[in-house]
Amino acid sequence: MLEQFREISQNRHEYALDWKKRTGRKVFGYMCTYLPEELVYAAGVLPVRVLGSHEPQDVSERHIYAMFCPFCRDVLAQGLKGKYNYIDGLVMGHACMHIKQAYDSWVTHIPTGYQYYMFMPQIVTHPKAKAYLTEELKKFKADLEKGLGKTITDKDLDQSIEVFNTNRRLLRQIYDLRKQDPPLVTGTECMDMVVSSQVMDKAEHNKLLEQALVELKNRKPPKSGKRLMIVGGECDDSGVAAMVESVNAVVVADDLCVGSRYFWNEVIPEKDRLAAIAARYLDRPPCPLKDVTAHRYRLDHILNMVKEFKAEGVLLIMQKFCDPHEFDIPVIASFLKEHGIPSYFMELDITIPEGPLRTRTEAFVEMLELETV
Amino acid sequence: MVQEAKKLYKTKPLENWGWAKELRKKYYERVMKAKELGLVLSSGSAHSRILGAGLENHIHFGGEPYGASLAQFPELATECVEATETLGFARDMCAYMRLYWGSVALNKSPWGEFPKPEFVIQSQICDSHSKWHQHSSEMLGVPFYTTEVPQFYPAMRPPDKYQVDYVAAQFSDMVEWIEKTTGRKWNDQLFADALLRLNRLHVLWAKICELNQAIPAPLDIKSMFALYWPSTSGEINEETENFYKALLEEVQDRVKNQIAAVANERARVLHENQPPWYALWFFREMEKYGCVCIGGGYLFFLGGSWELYTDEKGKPSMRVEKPIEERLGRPKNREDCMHMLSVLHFGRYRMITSSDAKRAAAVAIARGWKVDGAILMQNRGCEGLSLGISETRVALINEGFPTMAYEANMADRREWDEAQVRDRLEAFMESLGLKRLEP
Repeated sequence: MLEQFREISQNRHEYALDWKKRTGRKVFGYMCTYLPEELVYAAGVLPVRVLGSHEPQDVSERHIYAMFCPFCRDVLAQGLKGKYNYIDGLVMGHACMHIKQAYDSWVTHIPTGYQYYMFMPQIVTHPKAKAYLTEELKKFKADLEKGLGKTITDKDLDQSIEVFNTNRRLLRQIYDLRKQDPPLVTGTECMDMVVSSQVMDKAEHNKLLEQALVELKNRKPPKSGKRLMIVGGECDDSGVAAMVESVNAVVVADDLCVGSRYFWNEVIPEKDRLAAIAARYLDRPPCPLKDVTAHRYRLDHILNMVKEFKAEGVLLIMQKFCDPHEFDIPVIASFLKEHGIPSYFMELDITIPEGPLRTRTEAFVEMLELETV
Repeated sequence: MVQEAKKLYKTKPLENWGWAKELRKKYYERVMKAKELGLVLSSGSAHSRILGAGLENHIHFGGEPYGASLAQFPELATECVEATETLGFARDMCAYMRLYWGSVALNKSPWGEFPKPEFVIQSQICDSHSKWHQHSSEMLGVPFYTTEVPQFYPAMRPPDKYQVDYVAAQFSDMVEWIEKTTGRKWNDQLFADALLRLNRLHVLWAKICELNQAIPAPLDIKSMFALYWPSTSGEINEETENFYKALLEEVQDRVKNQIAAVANERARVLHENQPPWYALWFFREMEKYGCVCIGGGYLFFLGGSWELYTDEKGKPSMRVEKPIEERLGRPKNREDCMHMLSVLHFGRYRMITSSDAKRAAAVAIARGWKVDGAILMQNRGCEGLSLGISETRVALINEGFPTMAYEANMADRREWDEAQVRDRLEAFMESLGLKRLEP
């Protein structure tokens, strides 16, 4: 039944259209996982992550400079091509300039319906960030209520938070199965699960995860090999993990926004539900642009994950031209080296050059094997 | 085909040109001798210079103007960017930053060693700035403090009180950090004076740019790149203010007496984005067609204080903003100062961080400054200023302005394809109906 996750990811438009028909409710697109989805879900709307198609395109070049990341260009292309005509709105939590450009071009040129851009602080550790973000969420909530003509109650928020927290817990349980050697679930399967959670109603996704957990706990390890962690930027094509796992390696952990960064921490309930949601987004494992102070929190988190999941090597991946990850990757590589952890860097584009990347991954894995000998 | 150049207007060199150069020279001399002179040297982005202005004897070393200056030293600049790439950083990252980091790594500057600051302070005007000085401070081994300004969409709506308060609170915290880190006392009066003066500099520069609406244009963009420097970099002092007052008078006189920057002005264009700092002759090339470049969003907004609005025709327009002291009064205490600083940051930052504001500004400039076309650099060296550049081009085309786009890098000359850019410029000039006037 694990194939269902991939099928839904790959047929996400059909899923969303069917969900709309079944429920009679609206769907809002979002581009970055710093959107506080719980709030949107509490409003009765399904938030779905807008993802690229990984096909060559030329429709976005007029709108976004070619030296901006492939993801933002691919995402805009999907909108311009009408693939997301079924969404009733587009909402954003501030992340990076490139994706902000995609949002601007989208709402300028594509009929969008409801639109909202919310600032998500970058200095997530500032003592006043939580109070600030809570105010932003209040404003977003008020705007959602006005736009949808409905009130979002504390009960709605509690139910939404519980659905999301359950999803996070279940995914953590699945990730825990990767700590075993060999792991009971592959990196490819996990990526399909996480990506599908970004495009599905999490209440429905939770049911699939529960079934998956039963199956996984009773299965034999599907494969073994050198234990690798993938760290980096947006990479929703599980073909990348599959490519890595085709060369005597298994992806046992990740620090990706289509991986653990998406679900790692829960909302810890507070009387002020919006403050609780704010805290969750500030405290989650940061992407590079939320790790901007003198102390680099990402490094500690990545090292802990390497140790917890017993990764033997780290693949550092990023979308070509992604400035935020370009800042962090050399620092992470150097930090890992200081801790005796080998790493290898790979760059992605809209289409993944599987052949060359496989050769390079294979060489990295062979190097790890030699080190073991 | 070449036509004999027929001078249509009087022209003469700018009297205050030398003063601008002198201000810059003096500033870099003081930066290089900061320790000797007993100055407190901070570094960070150029606009962060105000953030340390409450310290006595403070001088700030801004990364971007340094990058622009360093770009003009070919061998050292190449050495610096290559050094940064050796450290593992990608070539498509901010060119100013790669120059700065390389300069730190090699401990070389055009004037000696890299001037090591005591601390680094930063405010995040773009994604690169968010991380640039995080790493700089690690390379330099000095303390680092960063602040941020919320972004929203659409950009032109005024910020909410809680947003202004958040930024003001960050600045207040920063003052405490500076005092603790440097062991020096913050002088609120000194800071208030510097803040008001900085705003006056921005208003003065905006007034000077506004005068370029005149036909013929009294200033050309190449000269303006030297003249705008003190409004964005350098020291915030009485001499700088006097310079701009004198320059304003001079340019007003040029407008009154129809003294042109380009004696045979037949056409006008704007330029969006930074220039290729190592190839500023590019702007002289268009003058050979009788085409003057009157400036653009980068030049006007980075050092100028403007109000962007929608006019009675529903079109974007802009005017010089009133000085902040007129709008908010003189700050009475630190809280007032930080509130004022916060308000000023919102106004300025959206011209970097917001695609929608930038294209509105480009249309406003094209209309207000009566241009015949627009030249836009798709700048590989700056993701911040390249944010929205393609949409700006589309917006200008939709408003009926012909455009020419060229790809280059404002500070990494290895990405300068001179032949291609010349060809494009020639074709663009011809498309505007211009013939080359002199060889």
